[in-house]
Amino acid sequence: MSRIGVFVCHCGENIGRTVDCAGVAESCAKLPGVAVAVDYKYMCSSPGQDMIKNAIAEHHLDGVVVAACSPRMHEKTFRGACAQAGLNPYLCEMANIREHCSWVHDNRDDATGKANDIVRALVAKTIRNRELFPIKIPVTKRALIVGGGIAGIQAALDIANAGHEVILIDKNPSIGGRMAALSETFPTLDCSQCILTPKMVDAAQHPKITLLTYAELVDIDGFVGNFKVKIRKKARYVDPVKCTGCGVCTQKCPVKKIPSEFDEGLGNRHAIYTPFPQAVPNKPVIDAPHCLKLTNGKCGICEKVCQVGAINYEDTDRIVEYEVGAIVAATGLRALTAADIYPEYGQGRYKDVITAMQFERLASASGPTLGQIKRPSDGKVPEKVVFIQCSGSRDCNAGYPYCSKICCMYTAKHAMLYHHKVHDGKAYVFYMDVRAVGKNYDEFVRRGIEEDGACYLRGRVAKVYEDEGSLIVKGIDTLSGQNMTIKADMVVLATAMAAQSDAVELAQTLGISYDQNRFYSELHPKLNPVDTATAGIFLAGSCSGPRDIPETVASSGAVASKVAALFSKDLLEREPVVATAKVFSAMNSCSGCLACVDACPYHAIETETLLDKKNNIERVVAKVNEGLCQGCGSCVVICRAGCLDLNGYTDEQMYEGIVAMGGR
Amino acid sequence: MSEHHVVRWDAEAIKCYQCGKCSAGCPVALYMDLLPNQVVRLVQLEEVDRVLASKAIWYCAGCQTCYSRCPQKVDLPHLMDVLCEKSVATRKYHPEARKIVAFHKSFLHSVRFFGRSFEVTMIAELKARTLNLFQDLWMAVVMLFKGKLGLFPARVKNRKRVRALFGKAR
Amino acid sequence: MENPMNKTVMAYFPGCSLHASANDFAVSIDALADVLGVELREIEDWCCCGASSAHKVNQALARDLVKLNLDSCRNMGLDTIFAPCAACYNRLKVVADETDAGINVVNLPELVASRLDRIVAARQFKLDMKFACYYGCLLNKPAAVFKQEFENPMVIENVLTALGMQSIDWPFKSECCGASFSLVATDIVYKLSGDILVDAAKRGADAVITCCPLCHVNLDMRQKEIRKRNKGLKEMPVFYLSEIIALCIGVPPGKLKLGAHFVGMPRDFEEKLTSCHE
Repeated sequence: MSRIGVFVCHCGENIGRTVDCAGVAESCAKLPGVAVAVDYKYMCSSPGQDMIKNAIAEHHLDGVVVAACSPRMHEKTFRGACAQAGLNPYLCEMANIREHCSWVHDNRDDATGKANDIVRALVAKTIRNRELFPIKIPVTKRALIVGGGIAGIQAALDIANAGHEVILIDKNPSIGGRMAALSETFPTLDCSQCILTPKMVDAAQHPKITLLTYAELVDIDGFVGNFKVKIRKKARYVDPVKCTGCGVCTQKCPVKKIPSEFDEGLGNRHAIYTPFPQAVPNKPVIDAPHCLKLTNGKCGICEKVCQVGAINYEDTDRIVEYEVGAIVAATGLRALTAADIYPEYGQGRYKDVITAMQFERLASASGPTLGQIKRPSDGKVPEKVVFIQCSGSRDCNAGYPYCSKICCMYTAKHAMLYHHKVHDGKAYVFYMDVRAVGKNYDEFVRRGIEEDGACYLRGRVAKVYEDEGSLIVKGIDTLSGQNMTIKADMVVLATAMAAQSDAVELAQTLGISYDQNRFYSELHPKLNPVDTATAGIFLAGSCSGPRDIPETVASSGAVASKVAALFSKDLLEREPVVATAKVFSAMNSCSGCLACVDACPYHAIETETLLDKKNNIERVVAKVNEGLCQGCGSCVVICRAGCLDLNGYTDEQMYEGIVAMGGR
Repeated sequence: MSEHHVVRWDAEAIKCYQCGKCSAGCPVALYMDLLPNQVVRLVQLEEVDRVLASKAIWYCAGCQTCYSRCPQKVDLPHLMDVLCEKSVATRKYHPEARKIVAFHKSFLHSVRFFGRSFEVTMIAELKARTLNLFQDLWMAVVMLFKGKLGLFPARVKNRKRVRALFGKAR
Repeated sequence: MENPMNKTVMAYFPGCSLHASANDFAVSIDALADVLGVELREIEDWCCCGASSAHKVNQALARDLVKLNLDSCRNMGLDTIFAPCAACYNRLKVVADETDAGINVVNLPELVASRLDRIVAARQFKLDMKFACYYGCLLNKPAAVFKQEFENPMVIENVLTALGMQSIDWPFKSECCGASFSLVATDIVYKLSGDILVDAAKRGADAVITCCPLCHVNLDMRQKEIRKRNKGLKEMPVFYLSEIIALCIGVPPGKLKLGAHFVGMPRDFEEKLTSCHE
């Protein structure tokens, strides 16, 4: 006969206000199989847990039901307490009388009755629970980081410095991400590349980091600690081992007028190119669709001038596979162009209406104008520049209802950089709010206004159009209540920061969730900002939402600590809530239909061939791989023979629980 | 009759976060005593009387540009219309709005009578209401010569049907 | 709905203006119907759509006036209304949308663009003038209802290009002309329509194309006063889009009521109408 202990928690007022906890304990004491039933104010507290442990010893309990909050809150807590008292933790169940009862009902009688029903059901289940033991699986102590911007680079360095191997991949020819294209960073006005390139070089040279650029993640398989990843190394057509990075090929290439992605279209590059002079690795790639040799069989100049024979026109994409224990998504964001969102601003129509990223390239010393602010239309230095914040963000109509977080700061920075470079120039900033919440941020913006003369106008701009070589900006200053029309030489739009165009595709490959703005979802927005709901996959940087560099670097450190924690054990313990196949049961033996193999979303069911005494094949049956099984129960549902069952939630346990719940 | 488009002005106005893009692009903002975003602000603050007595609501041209650009999809033109309708009920128009109200009333009177607008009587009534007898007189003469002034009203056959709509709506 | 003669039948809502001060617009529409392959059946006993006055002072009346016309269209067994006047088109479409009337409302540029191949096949002339294509406010706003490009629409420009004619790129194509302030606050029209004409002229336009009788009044009838207030502004004729199309397909200028425009045709107009047979 079972000896179940029932422990009813008041949860302060949370449960106690609506449910008569003492009454529930009293009723449950009379249930068959219950040896003791008590109630207490805070079961999860130290004295509460002690109560459970003492009861286990005193009453020789072989099962525990804690009637309290959701198992998602404290199942681990109470199972831990039982384990300490020597009771197998899987003989401990939680009856949720808070989220499922006291929090959703008002009437005390009804709620108490329902609480009784719930506890009764869990008692009936727990009587039939069996001891289960965690499944131990090995951990591959290697991490894959997808994305080589500052987030990926920092995470790679932190994980590698903790002693683990890292594979860092980036789909561009060089690492560096957005930050490599910036001129100076707020609030210190550090030169962006000066602070970034040492980290880029460290990442490339670190003995524990394998750097693969021009490479993309194709597919992953497996589960936490045991992932198998496939990466496509795109054809570079340049042998990185032989190439010395001398750059002669990039100078001699006759195809010169390809708009440079790195320079946001303000400058050009060749068909064989490195994206920027400080690229890591500093080895060029050939952009096949634009290469004369690869498309028409003509030219071939780069091969001729290469002194070390590094050019290889026969190169192909290659798939490489790795086994890793953790994957980090560090894929960042992209800055939108305003042409589609706000055609009224004339971006794409008027040359001198540019985006903030384009302004970064103008201001950058290694940019297309060597750091001079010049109008793209005629190369003249603009005397009046209008900066328009919120060009797409905070707009439900345009489909970007969120704030992009960094634009207020970088616009102030732009206004200041402009003033430093064009002393007599006048900067106007149209803003709705100024969001300067970080350390030294507000002081930075005040400096821009008070020392560098930026004129801040509170209001949006309705339209920008061109008239006789100038840009007419029709805006408003709501603080003084008047429309403001400014005749500007250049307009800079702080466009929305949005998820990468392939964000959804990558999320589906990784099996992680994303929100309505296609930013990746963290496990908990407050308390778990770098984990995902998928064990073993982490988020670093702005792929989960816009953020500035300090936050990004901090998140990379957080990810590294999580990965290091994962890798700190040699064996990972997995919950034993997995499917089992009763192959030989008299009533429910496996017929070998293998419907479960198709039903399983995790490819966790294999087949086993049973041989008879004469080594002839008797039949093929299903076999569950406990390492891969996630306990979803799909196979249990589809099994016609009733052969498959779920440990911890067996058919018998669930059935008896439901039946008990119904019989008040 | 579907009610779904009748704007509950408080529900509509609350969406506005006062960015001012509407006012910045409003073609007639310079003729208004309150800017469009200020009209919405006053509705938010429940100072509706001030709005009903303003010039702004009557000088809205109904060009729909503000609504098309509003990041919060505030239906400002419809809000303006609703406020105008309320203003008619209070009969407290801004003095400079009287002629505009007169125009709309004259137009609708001719539609009520003929089923379609008839320029001659409409303009006659308008001039009577505004005592602006001579403006555009030369234009009317030119129109007459160019055959643009319909001297005889086109009438709707079943005018009772149309007239009934006026009775119902009032 | 197609009839045996392979013509699409549409309900036709001329609106109050086309029967009176914009009868030049009406004449040019009639001239086009055949080539466009449409049979236009005037809505039986249609009443005024209410224009801007109704919705300004009485929401319920404004909706009812339009619904009456939508019901009449349905009673004719038709599900598409062609409304050449941009203001009528706007009212009909907005209310049809609000009330889920199941009636498709079509405007002039849409109708022309959807039947462009027929027009191109029938064309005989082109006008050697540079046109400022003026859309006004009501053809494509509010964006929530019309769901199409309204800041820089190119529907009319694309039609002109297909017919071998030139248009200008200009930022005032969707700016308000002053609309119904024409009679009671004419200064507003002088300013707004003045800005439009000044910009068109500045960018090299010889003429303006419009689709709304009220815009036409403001840009054409009031042009003389506007030119008095903007010294040096050149005279620019204002055409209805249908007039241009009619001229292209060979309708003789004398058959259209171009003389009804306040701004007359330029002296060398006949020379500018050149044959396009190669």
